[in-house]
Amino acid sequence: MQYLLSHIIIIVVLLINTIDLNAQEKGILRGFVSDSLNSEPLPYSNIFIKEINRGTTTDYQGYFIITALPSSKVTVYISYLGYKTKSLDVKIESGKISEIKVRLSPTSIQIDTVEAISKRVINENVSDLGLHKIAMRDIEYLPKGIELDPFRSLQSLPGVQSGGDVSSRFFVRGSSSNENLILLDNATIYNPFHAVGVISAVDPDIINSMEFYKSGFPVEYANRLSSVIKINTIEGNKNSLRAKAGMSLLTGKLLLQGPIPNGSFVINGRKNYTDAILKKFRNNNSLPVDFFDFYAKINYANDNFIQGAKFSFSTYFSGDKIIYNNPKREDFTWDNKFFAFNYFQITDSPFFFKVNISYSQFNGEIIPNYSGNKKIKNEVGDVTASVDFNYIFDNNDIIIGGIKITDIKTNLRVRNYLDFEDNQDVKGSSLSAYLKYNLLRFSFFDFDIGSRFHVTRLAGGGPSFFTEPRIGFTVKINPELAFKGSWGIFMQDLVTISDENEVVNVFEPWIITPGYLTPSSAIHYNAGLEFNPMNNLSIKLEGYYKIMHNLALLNSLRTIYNPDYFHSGSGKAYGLEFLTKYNYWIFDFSASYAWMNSFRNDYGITYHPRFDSRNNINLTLITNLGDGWITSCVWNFASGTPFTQILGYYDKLGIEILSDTPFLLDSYYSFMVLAGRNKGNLPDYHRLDLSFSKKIELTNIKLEMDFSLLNVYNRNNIFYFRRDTGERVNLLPLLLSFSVKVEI
Amino acid sequence: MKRFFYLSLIISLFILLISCEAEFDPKVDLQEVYILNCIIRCDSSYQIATLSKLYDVNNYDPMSNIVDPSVKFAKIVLTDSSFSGQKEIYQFRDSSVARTNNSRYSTPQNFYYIKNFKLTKPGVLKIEATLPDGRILRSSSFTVPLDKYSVNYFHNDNPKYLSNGSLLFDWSNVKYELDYVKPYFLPEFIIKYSQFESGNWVKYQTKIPLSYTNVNGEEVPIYPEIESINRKISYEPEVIRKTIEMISKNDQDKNNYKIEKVVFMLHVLNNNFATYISLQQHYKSDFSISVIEPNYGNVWGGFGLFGNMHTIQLEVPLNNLIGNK
Repeated sequence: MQYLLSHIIIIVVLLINTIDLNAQEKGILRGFVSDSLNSEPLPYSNIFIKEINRGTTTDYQGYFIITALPSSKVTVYISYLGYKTKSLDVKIESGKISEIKVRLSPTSIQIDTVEAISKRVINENVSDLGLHKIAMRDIEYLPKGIELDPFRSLQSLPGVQSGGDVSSRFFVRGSSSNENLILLDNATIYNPFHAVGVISAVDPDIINSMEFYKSGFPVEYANRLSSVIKINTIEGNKNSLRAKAGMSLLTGKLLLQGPIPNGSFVINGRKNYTDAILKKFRNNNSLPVDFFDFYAKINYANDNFIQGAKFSFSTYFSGDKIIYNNPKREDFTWDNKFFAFNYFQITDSPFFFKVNISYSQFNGEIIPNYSGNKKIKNEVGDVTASVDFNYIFDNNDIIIGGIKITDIKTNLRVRNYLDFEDNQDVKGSSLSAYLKYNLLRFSFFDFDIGSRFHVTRLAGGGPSFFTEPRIGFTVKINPELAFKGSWGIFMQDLVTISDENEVVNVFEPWIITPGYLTPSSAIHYNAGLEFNPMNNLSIKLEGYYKIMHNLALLNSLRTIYNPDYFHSGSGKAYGLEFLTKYNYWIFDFSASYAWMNSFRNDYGITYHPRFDSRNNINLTLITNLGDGWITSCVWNFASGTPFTQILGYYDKLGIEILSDTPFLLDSYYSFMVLAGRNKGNLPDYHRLDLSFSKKIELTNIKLEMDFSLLNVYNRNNIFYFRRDTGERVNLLPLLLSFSVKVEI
Repeated sequence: MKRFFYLSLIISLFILLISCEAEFDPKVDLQEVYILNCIIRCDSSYQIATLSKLYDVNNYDPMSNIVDPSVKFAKIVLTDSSFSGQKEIYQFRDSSVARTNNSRYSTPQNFYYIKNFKLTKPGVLKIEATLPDGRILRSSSFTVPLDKYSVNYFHNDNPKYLSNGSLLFDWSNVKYELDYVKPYFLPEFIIKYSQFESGNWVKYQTKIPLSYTNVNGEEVPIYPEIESINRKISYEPEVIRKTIEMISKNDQDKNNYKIEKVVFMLHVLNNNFATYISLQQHYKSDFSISVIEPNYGNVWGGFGLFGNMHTIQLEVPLNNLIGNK
């Protein structure tokens, strides 16, 4: 079926292109928007041409392009929340590209009318179902926990289920956490979490923006079933050398950025100096963790070298150790690293392309000492090279394509309980190409159709040729109301051996899907309504239905006769999400609600996975009090997650000395038997957080202070229930957190 | 002002209401589930089986149950089917014995036994228990047939003394009659001793570990685990000496202790039994709080274990226990 669809897609793309050859030639406006103080690109800025009531947004690199403009003088409004709106008169000439570079100045003045109007127009013009574009400044005023965390901020979006107060891991629209693709500078990071997941391993200070696709993500992204988070880093101050030091209750950090000839650099390091606060996350049990992360990037753009080219080279290291200094306890170490090279080229035509080469590595090890635990060692090496191109036709249609080659090596060594060292050393290469056509020529209807074609896959059973067709559309019913839909097939041939039933995973060991399994696949159906009745009010309603095949589920009945780590299961998920945003005067309010259902089928038994929470509510109110003072208030509610109840107890045979002849008579201990898997539910979760932020700007010094009060009414939210003792272990209690940053 | 007061009161009441700890029920109603345990000792004519049922308690401490959960009056049949076509059927008999420990259950220990079992040829053992209410529990397992010549060779060739004085036991020559039935080995090195207590010599035994490790000032023994590939094990003289010393460590009068004998036992287990013991030693790290506890068993219709084992015994002369270094 999917092969047939892919062929149809190619034919449709070719036909549309043929039609397009007759399109009238008009003028093109291309531009770049940046911050006037540091020349940092401003992603998702609004560009609006009043005369023709058309607009667009800048991409994550600050670029924008508008085609099919009439040859005349137009006024272009460029706006961005927190910046002074700018207007420019630009002369559009037929058959030419008019270029503008805009530098916006920061201001504390609220969104103005022009920006609000342009935002409305822009929202209606793209098929962005399930996509959240997040600039860091959008989340920096939310309550922070120990410190601002990019992944934790995603958990306030509808359809994203949190891993609990103690974990930044997240589950998107009923899928497991290992089905989320996390890209930093286009390189995959395999375990981007510190301290068993309490905070993420990507320092928010290096992030410029994030693009988060909750499902139905475009064909540009591959090898995950659920969601994509693309993290775009800052480029570094091109105007002056700046240093920023920060401290929270857990870490200290330093960010250096500044200009170099024809470019800029960024160096950032973060290290924990204590683990005392982590006790609060673990019911007052110690977590002797030691971690760091380091990021460096160089940007280079010189028109004398190559006109319109932009190069960046970045590297990232993170390392975690949990060392108990106790031979009866196991120790843990894990680290991530990558090197990424990105080349972006704009040309004299509305055509640009990107080249990315990256190497990403993950190592994780459980060192058992004399604990009785078994050794696990996992290594992942990922070399990826990709070329992506983008061409915008005169009629506003866009054709996007690319080729990607990935070479991955995974090694997993596990000594099992029957003295076997299982060494899974697998190497695989994946070659794929994609093509997508965005039909944007009509004012009332947008349509995109595309497919990724895998010539070879990493490993796993099944045919090596696989296609992932995807379709999306937007129908503008009236200027305020748009109906959107998308459909797609997704494939993943990397899996983790972490057990979803574990309350906390220290790290997730990755392996290429073993040969005895067919790689997992999923079909996503998404539909949504977007309603913008007023300039300062937006309402989104989205629904999704996902079917998952060949899910690699951990083999819970693994024995010497059935030694495989995985067996094939299936799953499905569906839900409805509602999101509204309203801003008035100094208030910014958002409310979201998600109704979610997720199912897994394991050995013929259907159950709800542990992260399946039926109802989720998130209310956020941000108040800009002026003079650098900002307060925020967030209330979260989540229905109780599934829980396996106790069925009863029996006296189980327990043997200490086999030479004891009558062990069958008196060697017994009490054992608990569990009822149907996840048939019960834990109590509901809810929490209120408050935060107060203050920015002070002196001549050359910026000071940012933040106080967060977490779990204000000290709700006893359950973390897990110890069935053996009846003890209820709760999540985070009332906690005051403080962080400070100084920039010079 | 009045309006503000009422608003504050409503918000405070709401917060008070929702901040309470919500209750939930961690248990479901008890169901009738039965447990059958039987480990056939292939080198013995006396075999035991036990049968019990699931119970519940009012709290989360199963030890608070003092009602004996054992099940009487069941019919248990053992069938020995050799691959050469021979078939022997044995029926277990119902019996009871006084418990060695009455702290929990005051009634005698109920069990089932046969005393004329004789494993002749390699094959499959099957067990079937028919409960008083007609329910049936079933299981089967391959036997682990040892080649008796190789066992004799093991006796003649062990132990060896290494240059550092360690005692080496090597069972790489122990063979089994069927290649496709894989055996698992669990070595135990045991000191059997008597202690003079209240005018009587009372028999005890203790296992010699592979080594001791110091954990917070305490000597913690490390014992061998189930082996399937490694077929030798050595015991250092210091470890043996320390184990002997620990027997009478807290007693000034060493004459209260007599070492009767020291025995090296090599237990050969079939896969079901080996898996069961391995999972019993299954360790969960401090971060591993799973909602699914492993409960390995191979009994159809209930819980429990049906396995089999051989034991090869080798007595080590006392005067050779700590080698001549």
